[in-house]
Amino acid sequence: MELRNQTPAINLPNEIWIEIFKNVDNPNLLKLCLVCKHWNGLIFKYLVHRFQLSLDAVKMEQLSKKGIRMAADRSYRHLQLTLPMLNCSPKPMKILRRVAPNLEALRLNLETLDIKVLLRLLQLCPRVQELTIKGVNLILDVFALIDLLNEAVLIVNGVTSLDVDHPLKVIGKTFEPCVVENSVPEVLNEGTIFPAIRSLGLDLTDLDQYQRTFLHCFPNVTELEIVASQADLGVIGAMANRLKVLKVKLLQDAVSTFLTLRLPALEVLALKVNGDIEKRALMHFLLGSKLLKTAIFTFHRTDDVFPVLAASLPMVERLQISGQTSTALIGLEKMIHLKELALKGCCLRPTFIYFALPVTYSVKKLECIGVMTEDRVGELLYRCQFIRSLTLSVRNVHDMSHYAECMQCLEDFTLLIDRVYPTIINQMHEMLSLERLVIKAKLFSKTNFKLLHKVMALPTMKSLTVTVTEGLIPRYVARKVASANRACSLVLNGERIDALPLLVRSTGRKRKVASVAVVSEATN
Amino acid sequence: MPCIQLQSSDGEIFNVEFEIAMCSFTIKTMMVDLDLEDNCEEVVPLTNVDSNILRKILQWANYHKDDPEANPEDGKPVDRRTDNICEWDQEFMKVDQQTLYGLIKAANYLDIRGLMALTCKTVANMMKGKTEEQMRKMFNIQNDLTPEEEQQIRQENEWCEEVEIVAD
Repeated sequence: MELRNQTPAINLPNEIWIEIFKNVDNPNLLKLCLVCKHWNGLIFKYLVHRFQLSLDAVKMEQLSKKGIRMAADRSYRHLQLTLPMLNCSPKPMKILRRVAPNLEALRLNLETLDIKVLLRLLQLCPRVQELTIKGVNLILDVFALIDLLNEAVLIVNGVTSLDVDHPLKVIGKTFEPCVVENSVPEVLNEGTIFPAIRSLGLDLTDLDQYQRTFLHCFPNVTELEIVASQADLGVIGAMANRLKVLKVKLLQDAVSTFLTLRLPALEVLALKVNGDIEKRALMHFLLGSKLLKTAIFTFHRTDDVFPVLAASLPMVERLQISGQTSTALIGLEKMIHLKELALKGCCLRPTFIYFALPVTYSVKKLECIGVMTEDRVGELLYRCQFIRSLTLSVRNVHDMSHYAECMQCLEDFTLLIDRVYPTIINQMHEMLSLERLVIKAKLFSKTNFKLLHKVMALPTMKSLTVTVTEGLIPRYVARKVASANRACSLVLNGERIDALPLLVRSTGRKRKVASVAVVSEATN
Repeated sequence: MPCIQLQSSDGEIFNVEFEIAMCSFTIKTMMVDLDLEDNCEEVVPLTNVDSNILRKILQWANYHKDDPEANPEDGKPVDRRTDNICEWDQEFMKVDQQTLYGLIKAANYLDIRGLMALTCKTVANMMKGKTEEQMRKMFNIQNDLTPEEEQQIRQENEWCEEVEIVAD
């Protein structure tokens, strides 16, 4: 790599360029690679961990000889291959040989897998710690839909309801399982043990038949992501004592057996269950993982599950519940270590205590996304009145007085809403600790947008980001709002808005400028 | 108020309050190592920093002297946001390019973390939304890539995907 001779005319040492590049986001960073060899070399020597090389059969064909060399020069740490099948044909192998020595993460999206070839490939990659094998064909199951819907609410501007049309545009992330070819596993010996691999992702058919092979080859796995049927649970069972991270999607038949497992070392659990779940069994399962800090649940047609979670997760710090489930948050205050709570797409039932709703003191971050009736959100916010960060998606709310309790301490507020009403903005003035405000709305009128200047002027404010899908905010209106507080940045629809120039009223000339500004506002 | 004397590369001597000079880890380490804390008569020469830059730095350090000290060992991921520069700093950064690069180098040499972050963010902001050609002009860089190499990089960039950062 030619790093020494190609010094740019602005003579900064490499370490300083790298410090600067660290502050650049990824799309811009890729542009910087095109400036000169020196920068390209620096970025792909020191910041390559931010990128993943993603290849499929067509791209592999396009990689000319020179391209192969360059891919190796860039020393990628992450590689994703999407192929019908992995084979030892010269071309892919040639590329892989080049890239393999530096790889730390390998993701394979395959239609069919030959375990022999996989083992041979892994022998080329001594540093790989993360291995994921999935299928390539698209299939949409209920969990994928839930994920996509939740994602869509955040991605698609202003969508605050779970409409099915929107997420269908962002499909492309779920896969059918990869078929394991009927390949007799080789003789297993020293050479086929990969002790460096600690993270394994599997979405395979007939995993149970190859269970022994996997357990032999990957003895040190502590993070497992798996789609499991009843027969596959043996893999989890065999790793039970060392698993720290488990992300599992349970097929219908596997639920009850899965819940009999005990995972004492588990710290992170992401569990997806379709169908009803035996609550007592769930409780015993969760109580078996005393070290659990992060728990993410996706339920479908499983109701009233929160009391069980609250009773069986006393140490959990982060809890997320999503999916079509309806539950009352009974026992929330008992989770005294809970710092972050996220509820996505689920329906809240009232907590049947009328006189004194128990308040939680520990929760600092709350996310409520998806359908929920408004008064329940009010109830939830009352119970979480010490939160610092709130993400809220609601439809057609005119009035936020329900939320008044939590407003005093709030530092971060993200609001996804159909339409912004003046009352909402007026109530934001009371958020005296607010530092960052994000509003994503379908409709935000010019007149109402102007009201934001008071929020902007709150002395604690550091940044205000507004995204509006319908309705145009004229630039001068935005700039006027931006002028309310020069220490706070304003971003409107992805564009940074600068404040108006400071007007000094002591001289005649400046005063003229001021009157022009007023006139232009009137004509607009 | 105890003071320390700093000498710039062009020989000018600055009388600096102890507390302000301590924002530089380089000076701080030097003071501790040489046990100069009680002896303020000594002049500390800074051979890599000229008087203009040193004056600017002291101005910055004076404004930020009450900031909470960032703990370098807390192992937090690098804060990649560049829109959180306070107003005073934005004004302060309105300098010509030579001064800006002088400040970066000095901040690096003196190991003033807050100023390093500020200057780097400022340069990163200058890079935002610029074409390659504009950037070459801005930093006075010769394009040493052949059209083929450029084509290669463009193609490979298209195959680069962002690595998901998984919350820990």
